[in-house]
Amino acid sequence: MTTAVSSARIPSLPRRVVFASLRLAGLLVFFVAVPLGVLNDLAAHGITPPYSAVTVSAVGVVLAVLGAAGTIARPTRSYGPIAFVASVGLFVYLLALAKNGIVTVGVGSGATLQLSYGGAILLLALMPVLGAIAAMFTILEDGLSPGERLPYDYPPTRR
Amino acid sequence: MAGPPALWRLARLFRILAVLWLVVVVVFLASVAYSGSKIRPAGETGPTAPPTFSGTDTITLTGQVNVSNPGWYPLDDLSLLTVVDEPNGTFLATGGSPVTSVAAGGTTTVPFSITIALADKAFARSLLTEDATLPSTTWVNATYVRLIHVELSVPVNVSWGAPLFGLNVTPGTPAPQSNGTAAVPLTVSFADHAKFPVGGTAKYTLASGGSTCASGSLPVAVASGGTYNETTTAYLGPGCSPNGATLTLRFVGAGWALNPFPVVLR
Repeated sequence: MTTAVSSARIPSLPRRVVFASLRLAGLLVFFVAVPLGVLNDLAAHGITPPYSAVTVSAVGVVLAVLGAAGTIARPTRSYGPIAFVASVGLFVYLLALAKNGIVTVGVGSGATLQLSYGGAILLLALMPVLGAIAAMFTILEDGLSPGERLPYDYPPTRR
Repeated sequence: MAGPPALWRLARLFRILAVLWLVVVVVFLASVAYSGSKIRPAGETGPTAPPTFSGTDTITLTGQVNVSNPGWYPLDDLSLLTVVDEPNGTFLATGGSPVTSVAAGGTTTVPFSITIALADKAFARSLLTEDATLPSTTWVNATYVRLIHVELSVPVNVSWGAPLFGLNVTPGTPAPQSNGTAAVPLTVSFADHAKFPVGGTAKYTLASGGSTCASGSLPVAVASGGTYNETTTAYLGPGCSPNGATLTLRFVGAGWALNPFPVVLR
């Protein structure tokens, strides 16, 4: 016995767009504003950033938009693929960041300090891997039993 | 109502794990950054002992660096590497430290040594008798929490003072002796510009026409910055002429020796 799909309290498209917009704002802060702030801070201290602001902004906007799109598409079968693409995209992005994760700082009298922090970024890269696995289960679920997850993603109001 | 589908529960589990992982890693990396900012060299960072002669035709510089790690995580694979060049940029010598670790909250003394083999290169040999400015670079490598690799590069111009600066042997006027030999005064002089004393024996051999005419020795004890000017007398047999004779001077000390310096007497 399963919960009826019709019992799900799926938000209307306009509501989902509103939620997605709020999420987009948060993701833009996380993926664009914060990295750009860090890059500017590095540049202000005479440290050449290992990544360009344009690249960080472009990838950040794409990842934020994918995240917001997932919120809108969550009741549909496209949610799984969108979440999967977003996770894989974030994983590849973190791998690229880790590969170039070296900063060199001048510390006076010609001395330099070089920090290689790629390993630290690789730790973060496990997060999108887990997200991609979750998205694959969602894709599988939607393929085998379309709509079955909706009452659990959007539980009916208890009386 | 039955429970949620297994696939839904798995998907939710992995989403929760992803968020938890993100939170744990962000907190962990923040603590690593805070903790790493507290690492400092502590105490003496320069050589703790002056360079010394060691072995044959070798100068060794030894010292130690104390590294303090008051943070919460260990500093691993810590090592020093120094490369010393000739003034024209040609490689002269290298040295370094063993690879060591500094435990969290601990301090470790990292010993290092630089060895200059004087016999290998003409320029290196000249460091015994001529001052020089030697460009050098020291690299400090370490890995923090096995995640962040740190490389500090410090270029320094080293002022080298020759321990036998201006080494010279000046023969005096030969004085005929009643036994047929000639007494030749030999004055050995040099200044110790090095940051270490020169103590031992100066052994000389005087040769002329392919055969040894005379040999002897002089005690040497010169403090850093001091000068040496001592005269000894060599007795030459009838077949030996001091003019054009070759004198080789060899310095020997406790645990060290310098290869002979040939000096042609005029």
